[in-house]
Amino acid sequence: MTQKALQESEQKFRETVTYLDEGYYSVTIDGLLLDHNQAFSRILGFDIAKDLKGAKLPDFWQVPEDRKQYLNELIAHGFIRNYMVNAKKINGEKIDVMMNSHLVKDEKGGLVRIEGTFTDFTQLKLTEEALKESETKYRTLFENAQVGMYRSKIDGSAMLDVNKKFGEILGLTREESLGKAGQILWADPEDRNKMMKLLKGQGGILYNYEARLLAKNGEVRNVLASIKLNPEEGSLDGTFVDITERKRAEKALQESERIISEQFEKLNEAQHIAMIGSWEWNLQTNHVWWSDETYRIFGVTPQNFVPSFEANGKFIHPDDVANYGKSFEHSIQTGEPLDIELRLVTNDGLLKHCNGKGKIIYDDSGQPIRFVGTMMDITGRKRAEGTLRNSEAFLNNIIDQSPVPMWISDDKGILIRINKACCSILKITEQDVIGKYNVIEDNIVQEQGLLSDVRRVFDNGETVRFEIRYNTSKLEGFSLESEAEVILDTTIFPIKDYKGKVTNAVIQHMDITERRLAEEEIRKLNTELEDRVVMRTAQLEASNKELEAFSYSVSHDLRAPLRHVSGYVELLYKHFQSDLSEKGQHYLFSISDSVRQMGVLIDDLLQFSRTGRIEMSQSDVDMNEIVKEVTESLCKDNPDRKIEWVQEKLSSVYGDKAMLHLVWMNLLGNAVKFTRTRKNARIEIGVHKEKKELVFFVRDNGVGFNMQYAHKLFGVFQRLHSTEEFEGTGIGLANVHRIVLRHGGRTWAEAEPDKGAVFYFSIPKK
Amino acid sequence: MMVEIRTILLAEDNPKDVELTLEALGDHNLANNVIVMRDGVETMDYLHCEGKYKQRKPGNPAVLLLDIKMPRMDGIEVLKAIRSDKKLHTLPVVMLTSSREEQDLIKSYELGVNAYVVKPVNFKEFIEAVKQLGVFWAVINEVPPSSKLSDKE
Repeated sequence: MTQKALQESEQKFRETVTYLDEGYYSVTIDGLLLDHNQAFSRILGFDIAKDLKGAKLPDFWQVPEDRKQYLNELIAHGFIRNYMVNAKKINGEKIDVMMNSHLVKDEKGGLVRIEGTFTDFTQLKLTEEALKESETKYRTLFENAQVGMYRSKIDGSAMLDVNKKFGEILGLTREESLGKAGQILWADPEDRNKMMKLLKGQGGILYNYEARLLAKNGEVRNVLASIKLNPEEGSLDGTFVDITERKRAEKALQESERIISEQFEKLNEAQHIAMIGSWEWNLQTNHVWWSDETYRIFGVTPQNFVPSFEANGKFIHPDDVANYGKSFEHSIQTGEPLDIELRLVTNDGLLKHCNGKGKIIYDDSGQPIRFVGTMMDITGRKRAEGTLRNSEAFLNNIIDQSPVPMWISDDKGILIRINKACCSILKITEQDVIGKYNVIEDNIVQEQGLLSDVRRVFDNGETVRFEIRYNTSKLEGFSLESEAEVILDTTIFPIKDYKGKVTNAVIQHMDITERRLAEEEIRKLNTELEDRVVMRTAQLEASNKELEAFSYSVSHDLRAPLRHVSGYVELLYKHFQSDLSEKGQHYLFSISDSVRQMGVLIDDLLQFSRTGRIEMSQSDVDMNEIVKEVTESLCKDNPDRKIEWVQEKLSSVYGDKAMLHLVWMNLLGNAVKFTRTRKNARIEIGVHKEKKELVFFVRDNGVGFNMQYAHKLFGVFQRLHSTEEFEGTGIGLANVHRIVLRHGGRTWAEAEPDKGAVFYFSIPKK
Repeated sequence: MMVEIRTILLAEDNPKDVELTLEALGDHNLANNVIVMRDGVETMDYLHCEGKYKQRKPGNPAVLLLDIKMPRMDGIEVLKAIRSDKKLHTLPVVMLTSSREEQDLIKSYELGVNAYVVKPVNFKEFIEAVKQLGVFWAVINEVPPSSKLSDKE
């Protein structure tokens, strides 16, 4: 059993050894090979089929000294582990092997054999070297990579490795980076958590993840990272590039793009507002580009129309097509700028006036490459020009047809326009004066002291008006065929530009020659009239004086002889009464009576004369008061008369009290006198208030008169009754008439013989 | 007579008026004291004791009855001369005239006439008026001191 077990164990060992990958050997101290396996032969280059037992172990040491050292160590320790030997195959090929050996001793402790295994380390070593080399290579790559690279703990608690770029990007040295907690490098610590979540969600790999890291100086760096979760190593491996600048550039680019697009928008808008479109014709590709406004002008859209020189032509008005072709051709051939006016019939059927302008762009070799230009819709302007032309024509017409003579000067006073009416009154033609006549240099204006007025128009922008006597033959510097002499009421007003500067003056004349002549005539007539009035007044004054003198004479000289007659008659009577017969005495009495009568006549006549001459002293006069005084006085003078007075309340008038007193005295006196024959005399006094005058009246029931003689009533010395019947001089009513007349009133009367009379007089209301 | 009759100077160019006036004054024995002047110039000569009156006794009359309308120098002018003369300006002057003209009245009063009497056409009235004048001015009225000198006759 033991033998069998031993044999089985021996068999198992043998199998194990045989297929072991390591070489196995058992050797005596003398170097005789006791046992080996196939790997032994393979590694050392023997035929694996050949049994080498009993053969002397080949010297496979490359350096013989190495064997001694090996044996010494083996003997000293009894075993040796992982001992590297530079060995050689039997064909001399160098190999490296790693040996594990031990001494096998007997019971007595005597050295029996050496057993060991070895593995071919050459391949391993080569791999290791290659690995080392590769690592160096990768390290170099890692170190010198232009991307930041790092390895950190998964939890971010420390940086395990970083490369140079990493440090550069974040402004850290390698030493400062290593061991540093990963998360502190994040601009926002939360970002790391987000990243981790994303990382895990994407199966442990993140590509081109944009992160914001914090540099040492506190700046935020934008990086684009690729991160890999490495669970075996317990690390995160990442690379990143600094895109801060790129970001910045991107942002700047975006901004400038935005600005450009905005500008473009604005340009578009501006073009739209200005109705100017732009275009570009690539002469090499024949491609035509239009701005939005150009499309709009043509009434098309980029969707429904592709512009080209030929296609555009179909919108040109037939009459302008030839010019269109010719102009472009001319520009291309001569290089001269394009400037044409065209009419378009747009896609939407509108007729438009356009102004096209363009310029050829050449390349360095002088080859025309592009034709760029603008297209402007000038329909409005054309229309305005038309309107302007119309309104100009309209104004010209008005000016020309105006009956008001007028002309227009420029800012220097030089005549630039004159209308027909003005030519006509001045008897000149347009050719005589346009561009030649200057109002500021006009000698007639200067002679009449009107230059300062004219200057005020041009210098101060004022409007002036003056009268000028103009005789064209006196105008210096002009030789006119006809002569005109006129008086002009002249108005000059300035026309100013938007800055208030005087650009023109409009001179309007009113021909007032006729009027002035008429006025002069009137003046002359007036003067004559005045002269005549003066003369007449003088005459009147003279005759008044004469009248005064006459009155004086009457008063003085006529009365004197009368008095003398009276005086001598009286003396005759006194001294010679006894010598006179009765008849003689009667004569003397008659002489006396006539003298007395003449005295009364003279006095009345004088008074009448005075009422016409003396000045009126007017005031408010209460007629009631006057009438009361007069009636009282009349009653006193006629105590035996029975008179019924009927008086309504009278109005006040504006007049001469003394004169009005005389009026009432005469009228009421007459009424009393001519009712003398009535038993029951009735005298009525009243007033009618008319619109413009007050009509006073005195009505009596006296003897009246025949209306046939009414016209004689108010004449001087006119009497309708005999002196024997009713005394009186015939002066009273003449006085009434004269006084009322002097008050601006009238007198009249109504009567019937034996029935009574009504006497009226009116006084105008105040 | 206890009544002292003083001189009345009558300036009147019309002899008939003079006669009638004297006739009127004669009724009251006033006529003898009347000295008649024919015009204004003579009147002034008398008052100034000039010309033919150089030899007259000095002194002013009790009153001057003055007609307005006279040749050479009229009554208004005489009045003006009297009122502007220091020696004469207090002399009582009465206008005795045919004129009823307001102008004459106003002028006379303005020049300081003492009375203005219009000669009535009616002789009886005339006589009455003149009489009253004579009596008043020659007898009743107390003359200013300068007038008294000539009355010592």
